[in-house]
Amino acid sequence: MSPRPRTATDPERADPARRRPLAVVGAVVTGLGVLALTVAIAVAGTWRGSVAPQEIALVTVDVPAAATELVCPGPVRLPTEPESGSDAAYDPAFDPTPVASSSGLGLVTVSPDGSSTAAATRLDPLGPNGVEPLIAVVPDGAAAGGSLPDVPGGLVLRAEPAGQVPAWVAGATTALTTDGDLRGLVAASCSRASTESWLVGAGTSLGSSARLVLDNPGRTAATVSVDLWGPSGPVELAGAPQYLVPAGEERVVLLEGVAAEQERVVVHVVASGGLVGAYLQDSALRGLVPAGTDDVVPGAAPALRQVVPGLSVTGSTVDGADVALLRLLAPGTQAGTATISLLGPEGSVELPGATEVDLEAGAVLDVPLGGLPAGHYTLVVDADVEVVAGALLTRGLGVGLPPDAVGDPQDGPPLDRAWAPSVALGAAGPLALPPGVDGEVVIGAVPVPGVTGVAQATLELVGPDGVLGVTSLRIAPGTTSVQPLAELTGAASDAVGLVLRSADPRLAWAVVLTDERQDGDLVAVLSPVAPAPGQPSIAVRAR
Amino acid sequence: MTQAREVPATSVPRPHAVQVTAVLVTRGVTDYLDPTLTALAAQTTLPQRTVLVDAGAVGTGDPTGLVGRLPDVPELALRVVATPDAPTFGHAVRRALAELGTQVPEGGWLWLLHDDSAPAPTALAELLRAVEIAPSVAVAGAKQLSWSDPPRVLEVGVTTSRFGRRMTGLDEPEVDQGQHDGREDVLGVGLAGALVRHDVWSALGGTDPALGPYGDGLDLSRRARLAGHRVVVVPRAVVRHAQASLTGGRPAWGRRRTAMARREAYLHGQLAGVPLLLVPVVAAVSLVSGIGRALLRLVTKEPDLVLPELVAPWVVLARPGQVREARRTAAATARVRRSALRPLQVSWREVFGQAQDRRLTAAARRRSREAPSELELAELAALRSRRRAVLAGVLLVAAGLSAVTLGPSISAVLAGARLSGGGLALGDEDLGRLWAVVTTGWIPGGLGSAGPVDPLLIALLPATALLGSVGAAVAAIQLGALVLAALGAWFAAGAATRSVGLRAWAALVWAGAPALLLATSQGRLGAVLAHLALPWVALGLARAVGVARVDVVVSGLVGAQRVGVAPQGPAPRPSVVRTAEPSLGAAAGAGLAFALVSAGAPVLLLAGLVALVVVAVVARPRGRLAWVALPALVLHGPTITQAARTWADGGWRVLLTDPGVPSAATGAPAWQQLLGWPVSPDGSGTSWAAGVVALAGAGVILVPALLALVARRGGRAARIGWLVAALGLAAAVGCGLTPTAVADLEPVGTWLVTAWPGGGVSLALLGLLGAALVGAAGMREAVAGHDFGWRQLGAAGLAVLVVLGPVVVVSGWSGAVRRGELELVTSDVPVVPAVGLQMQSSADDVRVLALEVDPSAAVRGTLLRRDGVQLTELGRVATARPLGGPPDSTAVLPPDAAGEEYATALARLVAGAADGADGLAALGVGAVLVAPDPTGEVASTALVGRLDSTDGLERMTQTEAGIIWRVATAEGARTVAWARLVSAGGGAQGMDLGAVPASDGVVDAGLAPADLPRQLVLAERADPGWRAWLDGRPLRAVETSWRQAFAVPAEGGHLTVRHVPPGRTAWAALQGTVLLVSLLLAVPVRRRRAAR
Repeated sequence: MSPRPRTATDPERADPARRRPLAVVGAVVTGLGVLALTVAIAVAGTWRGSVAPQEIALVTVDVPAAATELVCPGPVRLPTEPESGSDAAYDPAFDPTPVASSSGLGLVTVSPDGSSTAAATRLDPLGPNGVEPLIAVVPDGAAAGGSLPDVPGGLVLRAEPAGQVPAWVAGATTALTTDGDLRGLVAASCSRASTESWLVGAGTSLGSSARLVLDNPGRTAATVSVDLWGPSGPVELAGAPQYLVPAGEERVVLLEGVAAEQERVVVHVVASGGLVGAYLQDSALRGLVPAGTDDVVPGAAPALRQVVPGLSVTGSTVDGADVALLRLLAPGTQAGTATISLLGPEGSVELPGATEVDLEAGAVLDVPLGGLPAGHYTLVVDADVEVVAGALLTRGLGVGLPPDAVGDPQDGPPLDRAWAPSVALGAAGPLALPPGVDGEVVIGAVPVPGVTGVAQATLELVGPDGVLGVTSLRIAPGTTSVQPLAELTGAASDAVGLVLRSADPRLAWAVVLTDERQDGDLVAVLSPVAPAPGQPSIAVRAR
Repeated sequence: MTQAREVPATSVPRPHAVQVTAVLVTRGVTDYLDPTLTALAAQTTLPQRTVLVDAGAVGTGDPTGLVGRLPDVPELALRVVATPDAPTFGHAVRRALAELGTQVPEGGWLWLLHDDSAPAPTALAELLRAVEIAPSVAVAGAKQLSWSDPPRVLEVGVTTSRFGRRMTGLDEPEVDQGQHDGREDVLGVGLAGALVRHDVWSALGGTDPALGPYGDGLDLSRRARLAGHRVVVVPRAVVRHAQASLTGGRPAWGRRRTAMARREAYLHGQLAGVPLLLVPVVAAVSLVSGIGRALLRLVTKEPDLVLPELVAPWVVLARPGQVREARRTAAATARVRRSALRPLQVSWREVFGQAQDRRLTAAARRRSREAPSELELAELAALRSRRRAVLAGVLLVAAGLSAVTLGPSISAVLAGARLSGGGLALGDEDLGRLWAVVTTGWIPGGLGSAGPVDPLLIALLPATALLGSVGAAVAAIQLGALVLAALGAWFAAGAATRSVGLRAWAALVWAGAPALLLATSQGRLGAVLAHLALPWVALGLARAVGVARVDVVVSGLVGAQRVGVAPQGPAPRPSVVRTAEPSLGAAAGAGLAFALVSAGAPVLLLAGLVALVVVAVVARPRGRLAWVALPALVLHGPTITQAARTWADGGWRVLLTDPGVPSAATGAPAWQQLLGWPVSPDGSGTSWAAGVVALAGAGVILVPALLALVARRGGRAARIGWLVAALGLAAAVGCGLTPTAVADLEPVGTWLVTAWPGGGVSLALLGLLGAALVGAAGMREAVAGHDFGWRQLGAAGLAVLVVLGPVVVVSGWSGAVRRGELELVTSDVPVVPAVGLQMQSSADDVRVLALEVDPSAAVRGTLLRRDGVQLTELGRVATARPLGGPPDSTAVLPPDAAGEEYATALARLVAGAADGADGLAALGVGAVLVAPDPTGEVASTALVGRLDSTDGLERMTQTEAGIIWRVATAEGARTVAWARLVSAGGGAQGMDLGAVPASDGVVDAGLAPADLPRQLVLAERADPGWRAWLDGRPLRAVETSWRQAFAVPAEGGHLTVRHVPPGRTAWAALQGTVLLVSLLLAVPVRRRRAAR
């Protein structure tokens, strides 16, 4: 074939009259042909559609459940008391502790499913593993427990997994001080060592002390960084806000020393290098009058909804003195609005004054809960920004009275206070009772979209050698049910713990402990620490 | 001739001082024989006797018949001698002389003539005069003129360069004006018409029997010179020479047919002529230069000469006997040193000067051919400057749009940040490392897997060589996509139309195609590359088959016709279409571009081949179209082989799988794809109306494409365009239907995703755009042929619409990108902290495990060998491997033993199991990395806490790249290395005996002896391609669950381990050869036509 001529007049361009009929027909046929082919593919393709991305299940791998490690608070101590290793000394003439505190610890281990044998549990002093345990509970049934009459210091509760799921164990310590600067009832559940803790409570204004206790039960040293918010926003801590907690040791930080004159604080503790248990010992004095002591234990992380169970109040007027209060903080950078609702035994109770409060970003806000009828409530905060919340319960002879009826607080009757943390909903699990306490179990059924009907649960009372009794509960949604411990225990007085079993996602519970005194009742709140979710398998993508 | 006949009658025979015997050699009766004999008979001085030697085979005709018809010239004393099948001229002469014996006196001269060399009447007389006055002359040559009229000078003696290059001093046949008549002493003369002293001929043994028709004269002259004689050329003696043997006897064939024989003759002459010591050197140089000359022949687009250049040296070297014989003969007669020849040879300067002259002459001739007149020259220059101005404008607009839209990314990359995101992996590898990956058959991602290298990586080699790193090459393609697309479309459109307006519009449509814009913002490198390379395929194809248009300046009255009165009936407008000549280089260029296309969008390999077949059906010449398909086919060869081998298990999917990181897309309905959208424009939550506008904007191209089908001009091209569009659409639909990969999406989760339909959509757009352009090229004329009316209005409206459409699409995309719909991210933060990078590059060659968790506690682990997932670690075969079965199957194969062990180790690590670190060590993981979680999720914080408290993990540092833990060796109880020695028989669980230094999956280290045999275990999947040698002795592979292991004897030595897949070398050689040949063919050598 010879090459195409470089210059040519296109034959198709020639006079159309000269185009041969056959060529015209051919052109029409091929033109229609290619068009029809394209249209056919388009139609067929459209009809056939295309395959949308499809999610494929990840590979799930069964893994052994992790051992449970809970850190139990030690006894209350004066903030001025020298830490071990320090050589500061005080004049014994001005003894701030005329009577000794009596402390105790209870621990309970139960079977997660209620039928198999509960996990063996041991209680060790904070420190390296391997020394003789203080208590070793080796259950032969579905539940067992133990107690310790005197708490020497920070303790660690360890339990191997119960079969394939993490153990259900709980511990709680209590300290009762009837006089002196530390007068008050202190009770706290042993908390899970974790990487971050939100402590909502306490203050560092004059007379108040916030003693941050950091316990590292692990085998690696942990570096803890502390963020602190005050009434007017985030607070720069004096000195480096980083604390090294050696393995198996306790580190105490007096917040009044690093962030003075903050009337109300929220503390965020982040640990790296290891898992750390953290709590705040909050104590206050009004002049020489004790104004209550309690441990602030970690509450739920920032969320749009926070639930604080176990809000037990005495009757008060709207502007009553020393009423219970709700502490709120939006730790983010956005301001927002929070709606407060209170679930009483009969249903929702309107909070006199303010059901809706404005939240300033980063500023700690206390909402007084005055004007409520006496009783037990479950407090629900719904906000449009993520918030943390905690509630302060107060007891004392002057609590709730109009301010003019109380007079000078520095000269009035003593006060006791208790911090109730916010908890996760659906918290079925164990709760340990320290020996010799009395109070009420408070269970709230918080309305959750999509779940209706009466919430059902069983509450088991656990003794040292097994289940002592079972109570079935039916709680109407939006109400709070109160079960006095005395009624549950009945004749059996050696109860060491409770187990709430329920599949309902709406329940939140706590135990309010009270000690009636003539110079004013003492109060404390024990919140359950939810067991690690049974995680027998992990979904992984290995690439 | 009449005169010639008369001359002998009137001339007075001179008394001869010397005896001359004319020897005329012919092969049977040829066309030239009769005139030659006649001319011989017409000599003013006749030879004493004439011998007509018939060297033809029996049956080629008997020349005696011709002799009878000659005029009766008694002095001619003609005698016919048959030497059937004499291989060369020299043989024939020697045999004839031998047969005649003493009839030819020894003391005379031989006048050697070919059957096609007709001497002028005075030729012999002039020759004799020359030799009579110079007794030392042994060889006297004639001036050779061409046979055909007008006569041109072919040769006035020849000389050579110092390296034996034959130099005639003539560029090409020149008009004889006596300009070369001053020559006398020369190195050599052609034997046609040459007078040779008989005794010298005998002493020298005649011509070299190894030399055929080429170089024999030069060789004989050389030897005569060395024997102490003179060789002269006698310009007044003229011979008209047809050079029938040079052109193989058939003028139409040209000189190329005999190139091999000529090359052989030259090499033989060189081997025979140089000093003995240099013979091996010359032999070696001839082999090497053969390759070089062959490659040069590719560059000069003479592929038929490639084989002769390669073969000729071997042919000559295969006959050492002939060379030895030639050297012996020459040595026997040599009287003077070789250096005596030097003054007769030309110097380098002359050689260069002559080459320069030749080039200038050729250039001048081309110019005069293309632009016959000054007027046309000026007009072409005006066209050129207008074209350049518009092109510059188009590129400026594209660059401006890129700057406005991708500006932040561009400036970040220029400042040194790395580009990734979407379907784009990182590219830290430089050319050397890329080359290392390309030349193995191992995909290093994850725990490694065998598989052919991704063709995309080979396609990135040139850009990587240019820009220094894979990442730079990728960024240039990804961020320069708009400019490059406009550039390509501009040039490709030039093949369909010469209107700068239409070309600018085509550039706008192509750069504003949704297929390109989406692929750009989603980091789909392959699709972008395919889109950028497609116009070049089209351009190359058009030029290869000679339909690409070039500017034409129509002379005369064409412009005048329009102004004049409306002609009666349809205007017979003579529209001249000038096209470029069909070009082999263009075919090769199209092939290279097609290789890029297929590497980027594999589905277009099949679609493109079908389209090529369609083009081949209608196009001439079609043979060279093979060059278009060949590079892409060999590039994909290993992949296709792999696909064929695993076809039944779903291995065919690799032919559709996109390169790069899999990312999700839902193909648009086919009708939207025909409008140019690979995925629905309303997919990202924009309003319904915006979607319709976007669809219409991209799809408006269909209107001119449809009109092209009914247009009179270019109907065939428009039909092919539509057929290509149909093919592209089919490819797009096929891609949207076939799951090909498992993509990782946020949060931690895996999704089965289909191939990206964009490649097919790009091809469809190419077809439609091509059809629209050829249609539109004639539309203006067609409209101009009518009075102002609806046609003009319609055309104007359409023009506005087709310009507005792409503008709408581009601005919509630009807005979306500026709103943040850009999956490309730039970051100057390393993925792996420096301490981790140090471990990766250490002698332990460990991996870094990057962990991500989501709130549901699902974990994703990524094994990193470098600073992040690299493009070079991915392979399409590995991407498609988890999928199997029929096309619509959505089943994913369960992980293999390696994947299972990895998943288990990952889960146990994350769960905080006590043996978490051991599982990692067994996988060659030296460090664990948790990137910072900007959302501060609890899951991620908890993971950090668990890792902190895991035995065997030591937190090293926390940087902006994240927190990194070292897998502790725990005082030597645990070996963390890619290659390690374990006790024999233990497999992966054997007792650790220590690490073996390795680097990038290669072990090359000394090994200390031990007491017992042991095993070498690699943290890499087993494959027959893994080979190990100890001091050169191959080691036996040991079967383990999945790891590659070798049995190592107790003695030490030098240990080498590498992956050498079978057949890889052959493929690499084939790919390298084809790509190199294509590249050389595609190199434009001649200066482009002035009007381009």
